[in-house]
Amino acid sequence: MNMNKNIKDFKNISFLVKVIVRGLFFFIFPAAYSSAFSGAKYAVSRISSGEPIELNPFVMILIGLLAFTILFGRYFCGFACAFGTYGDVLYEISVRVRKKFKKKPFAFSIESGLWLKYGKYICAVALLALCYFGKESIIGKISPWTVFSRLEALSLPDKGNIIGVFIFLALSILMLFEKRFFCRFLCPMGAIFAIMPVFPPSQLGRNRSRCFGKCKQCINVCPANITITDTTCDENGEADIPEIPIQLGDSSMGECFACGKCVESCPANNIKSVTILKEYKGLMWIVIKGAVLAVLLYFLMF
Amino acid sequence: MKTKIFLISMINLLIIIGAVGLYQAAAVHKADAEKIVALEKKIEKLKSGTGSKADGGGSKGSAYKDGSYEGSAKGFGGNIVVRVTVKNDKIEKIDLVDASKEDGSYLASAKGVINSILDKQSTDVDTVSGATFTSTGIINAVISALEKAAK
Repeated sequence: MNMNKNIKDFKNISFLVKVIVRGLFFFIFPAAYSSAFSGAKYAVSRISSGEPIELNPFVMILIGLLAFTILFGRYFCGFACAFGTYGDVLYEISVRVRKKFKKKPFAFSIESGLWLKYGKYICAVALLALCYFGKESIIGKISPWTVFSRLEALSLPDKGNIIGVFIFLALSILMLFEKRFFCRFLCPMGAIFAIMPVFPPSQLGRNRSRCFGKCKQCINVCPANITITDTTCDENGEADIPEIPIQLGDSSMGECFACGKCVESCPANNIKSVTILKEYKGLMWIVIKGAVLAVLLYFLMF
Repeated sequence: MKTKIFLISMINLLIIIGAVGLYQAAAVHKADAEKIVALEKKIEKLKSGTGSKADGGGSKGSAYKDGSYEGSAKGFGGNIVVRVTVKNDKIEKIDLVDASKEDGSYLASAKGVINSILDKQSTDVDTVSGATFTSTGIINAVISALEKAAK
């Protein structure tokens, strides 16, 4: 009984801490994600005109966020991105509503996610190609981010942005039904983050031979449906554990948002990294990484 | 295993960084060479004695009254207010009085148009790509201030 109460207390505190961290980033750095991508767009358009790339604030934010991602993984996507937070809030609302009406959650299958994830690379390449060919003004017209940031600044979207408004509405509906739809399948900045190397102490990994039979808890709670890599064996090693079925799901850890949900929910305590932990230590790391990121963004922006 | 994953993508990243670095070095070199050519042309022009007059009297006719003028225009989140100081028909200084509704990084980038306006002595300058709303706001605010300064 006492044990249960402790777990419940922790869950409440953990929820509160995460809401505070994400809320602060949402209101203090609402445009960090689009600034970083503007840095990439700027660099590409400079390259197309043969001029040197200057270190303007956008480029600085891009470099800063990429360096942070190499150190700590995609914590930015997991906790600091305003668009990701917006999507998660929509999804949480829809989960609660569906629970009330006892509706089964509709979701994309894990297999379809394996294909859809390439959408974000296509998006990134297409948008950067537009910049390369000097058609950057098109992006301004169709960008759902511009619409979102206008709404965040409490003003109505621009008239020239009507296509963007429709795309934004469509994305909002999709994000109601599928966790992190935009981030996993369409976000051009996410595509750049996903190819970044992550410093080994911040990578998640596990020893599959210690997993419980057919347990799929980690893949069920993962917002990106990732099959966590077995970091204890080499490529041939997996054949030695026939009693554990191969998990369907993304095996690229580049898709990991470093949210830590799998670490918290693993019944075998089998998923580990130095900077992503369970219980209060994990919460402490979330706050520490948030503070580092906030200081970094502050100095790059102002 | 973790180290292996890290190293493989690190190599990819280093290749990209290397390529961008090479590009950057080449582009800086090219920009410097162009600058030198432009300066040499200027020197030749000055030596031959022509052009010095034409360079001096750029703006004719449209005269501004000396003084400081405030102008405002819509930016991204709200109004941007600037103060333009005019002396001897020259835009001497542009101060941002209020841009509190603009986002930090966007405002910092958009401030580049102030220098372009001062360099060109004209509001007919390119907006900052990526920060179009904010830089257009600054340009329009300067225009509205200059309207007040016009005789």
